[in-house]
Amino acid sequence: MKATLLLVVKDLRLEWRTREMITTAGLLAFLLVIVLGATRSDPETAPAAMWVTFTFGATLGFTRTLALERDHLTALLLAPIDRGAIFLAKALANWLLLAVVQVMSIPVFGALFTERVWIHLPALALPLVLGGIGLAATGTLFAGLIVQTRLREALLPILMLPVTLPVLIAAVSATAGILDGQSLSAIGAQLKLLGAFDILFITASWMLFEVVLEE
Amino acid sequence: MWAVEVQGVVKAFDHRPVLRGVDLRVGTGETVAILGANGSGKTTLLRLIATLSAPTRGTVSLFDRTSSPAPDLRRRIGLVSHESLLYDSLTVEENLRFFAGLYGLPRDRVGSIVAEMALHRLVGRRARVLSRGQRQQVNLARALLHDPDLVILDEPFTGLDLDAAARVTATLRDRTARERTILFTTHDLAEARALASGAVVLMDGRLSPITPPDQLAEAQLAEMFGNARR
Repeated sequence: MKATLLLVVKDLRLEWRTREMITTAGLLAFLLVIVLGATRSDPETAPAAMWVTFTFGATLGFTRTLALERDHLTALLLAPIDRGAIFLAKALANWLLLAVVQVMSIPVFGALFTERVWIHLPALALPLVLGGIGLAATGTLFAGLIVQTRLREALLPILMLPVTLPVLIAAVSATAGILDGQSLSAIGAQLKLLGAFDILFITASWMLFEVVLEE
Repeated sequence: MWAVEVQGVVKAFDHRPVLRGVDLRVGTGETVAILGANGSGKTTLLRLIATLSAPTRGTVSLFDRTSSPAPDLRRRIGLVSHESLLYDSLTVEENLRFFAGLYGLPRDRVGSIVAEMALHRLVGRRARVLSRGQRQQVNLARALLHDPDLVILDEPFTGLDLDAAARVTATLRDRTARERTILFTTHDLAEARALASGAVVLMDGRLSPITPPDQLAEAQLAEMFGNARR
């Protein structure tokens, strides 16, 4: 756990100094919201537009967090720490990055798509957090798999998106339900699915990361 | 006890063998230079010994234990590789503190390695602004932070000026005096003679027997490596 925290703090410190990932992912997310909003900005399309934005912004950020580590992976792999700790640290850093993108994008959604975003903001946090964790876990696993390849930016969405489809469908559905004013119990099935996917993918990735990082 | 025991190791990439049956035994406290031309597989061999890669065939044992990426075995290895392994946006001190944390070392360990390697002038500088020689010295400090039993160095003298090279040599000699085992790769017989008690030559995927470096002749190496050596 100490190693995970050390790695996360290091990642956040590096990001704070360069602001490379948050600028790239945030800018892409912002442009997507504007383009989607200009195309069709009614409340019904808001949940799908939201998750399309988060997914593409996150994908770009995920590739960069592990690419940043590519040259230092040797030192990390040689350190006497569990490889699962590296996964947890990267996934946590990726989730934090995605959360920042979400926080930056939500006001734009509120302004362009529907003011219901503001009314239901506390409840909206649930699918945003659960869906974000699912995206971060899968994104980190696949980014680890392709970090040494040249076409990693292109490969990540191809590998990651089919696997994250259950998360995206459940997240869009839960977000739509909340924006429609449904109670949390009414969207319980989607939230449970998101929670189950998160647990399953974090556990599997934590166990598999050792194999993933091998040459 | 053998610090490093490599037996019949074959390593292939995409079915193309780089190492074709390598045997090597290095005792505790020995310093061995691995000489070889570019692309001869020196780095591949070092990565196998450092548990960063698994052999296609054969076994690698460290300290009489079959090499595996187990954390307690990795703790006994210090590696200086071709890559810098330092985070450019962190200062030297932050880099060393980060790696000391990964090894669970006390906070004052960073101060002592900085003092030992005379890195005081560099501690506040970001790794990005360091010269090649300074980077190499900080990398060596990073690799020696946890006082490993086995120090593996991939061409540690490349790009160093005479002063920096002398300092690296002194640091490594100090490790040898403390019964640490050192394996390093080099193109240069003079470097091998300055530091190593034994030398091996890697050519065509095979390793020569360990020989005292003085007994290896420049002419012999030049013939073996051809023009690729320099």
